[in-house]
Formats: sequence, C-alpha cells, structure tokens
Amino acid sequence: MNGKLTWFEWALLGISICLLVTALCLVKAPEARGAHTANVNNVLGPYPGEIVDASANITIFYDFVESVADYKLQFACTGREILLAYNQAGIPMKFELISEPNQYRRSGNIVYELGAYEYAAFYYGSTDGWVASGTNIVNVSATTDFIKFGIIRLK
Amino acid sequence: MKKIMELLSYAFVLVFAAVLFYTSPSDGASIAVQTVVGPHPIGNVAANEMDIAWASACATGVDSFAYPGKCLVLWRNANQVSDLTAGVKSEPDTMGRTADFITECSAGWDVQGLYISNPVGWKNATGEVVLLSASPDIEFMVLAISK
Repeated sequence: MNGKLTWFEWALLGISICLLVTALCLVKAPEARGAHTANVNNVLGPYPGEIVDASANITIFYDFVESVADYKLQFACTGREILLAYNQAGIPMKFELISEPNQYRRSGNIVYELGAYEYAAFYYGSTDGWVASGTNIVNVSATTDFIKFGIIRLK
Repeated sequence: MKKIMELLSYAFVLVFAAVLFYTSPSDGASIAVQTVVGPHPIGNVAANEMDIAWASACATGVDSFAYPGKCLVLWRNANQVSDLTAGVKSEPDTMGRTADFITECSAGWDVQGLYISNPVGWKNATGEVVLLSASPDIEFMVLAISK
C-alpha cells in the first residue's frame, strides 16, 4: 500500500508476463506451421549448351525447419515434375501426396511408407487431380522431418 | 613341332581377342531403368511400388542402359572427400554434336542430372545410352518417364 510491490506481487507479475508470452507464442504458432514452398530444380536437357560449373546441379532435399510441427510442403506444378522423397531415419516413415477432387472423382490421397534410408519417386505428369482448385499448387506432407523432399521439373 | 607352335599361336590370339571382347569398356555394366509411378496410378499404390534406388558405377568407368524413351538420368558423388566427374556419353548426330555431357560432382552427395527427352545424340547404334564416371563412388539412377 506504500507504492512498493511486495515479493508476492512481483512473483505474480512475473508469472503473468510468462503466461502472456506463452499465449502469444501459441497464437503465432499456427502461422509458423504453414506449408513451406519448395524450390523446384529445372533439370538440363536434352541438349544443354556449354556446361558451366554447377549448371547441372540439383538440390534434392528440402529440409524442414526443425521447429515446425506440421511437415507440409508445397510447390508450383506444371504437370512436368518429379517428386523425390528420402527417408533419413533408420525406421520406416510415411509421407502423403495430397489429392484434389477432379472430374474423374479422384479424391484419394496417396499415403506411402518409405523404408529406412530408402528413396521413392512420383511423377506429377498432370496437374489434374493434384493441384488445388484455382491454383497451380501441389501439397505433400510427411509425418516427420526425417522425410526429405526434392522437386525436379522436366522441360 | 612347328605346326603345334602355329596352332598354339592361333589359340593364344583367339583367347586374347575373346578376353578383350568380354572386358571391353564399351560394354560397361548395365544400369537398371526404373519406372516412376504417376501421374494417375490405378488403384492404391502398393507397398514398395514407388521405391527407387541408386546403382554404383562400375570400376571401368563405363556403364550403360537400354534407352527406354524419355528418361531422367541422375548421378551423385558418394565420395565424401574428392570431387568427381561423371555424365553421359554423346553420340554423333546430324547436328554435329560430339561432346560428352560431363559435369563435376562435388564431394558429399552432390547430385546432378540430365533429362534425355530426345534420343538423338545420346542413344548409340545398339540402342543404349552410355554413362561415364571417374570412380565407382559415382552412383547413377535412371528414371523412365511415362509421357
């Protein structure tokens, strides 16, 4: 009552600030868990000109941010992309190719279990049934950041 | 005795030629062509159906695969210390192309590739595409593209 805070009031104030910061973090978290946009590799061919260093390089694996809870990835699809997946873990892990309804009534996602240290590939040779309506975006997700993805676009 | 020596000489030449033929680098080891699932697999994708694998280059530095139509050729460097060269052997074509497509792969799993959507200049007279590598530490992957 003399204008100075007691130790109890200081403690209460500290706890309140902690709770406020925690609440703010929880509110912000859903934004951070949004899908990441993958870099698409344009592969050379069939008649590349003069080869310069690294012109044929392909970045195969996109690393998820470690703190991201939902391992979602998206990329712009032209109907000429190959998705590569690699399981960096010593046990089988799953990933999912998100399907979009189309005129053939396709709506089933592909859930695939990838063995330990194994690779898989899928050819997005058509956007039909894969890109979200009104977009050119394809979505994939994994159950863990041990699954690494790479996108290669063919000419 | 002279006749025997002649026969032995002929036999030696024949054996030597056979050894040369069967160990010729132009034959190379065969790299499996893998089919990529998609874009619209019928029914559910079965277990292991989408799996693909890398294949080590042979010690001679010359591998090959039967051209399956449009295909993506990838190679990577499994050597963790040294940069290595690898690529695809060119075949003479009507455009006068003769240069092989050789790139330098950085040490530590650097991946590079070439999309062969047209066989002219890549497929040889026996229907194969020849892959070149500086070391067995180079690994290849050939993915056939459905359309």
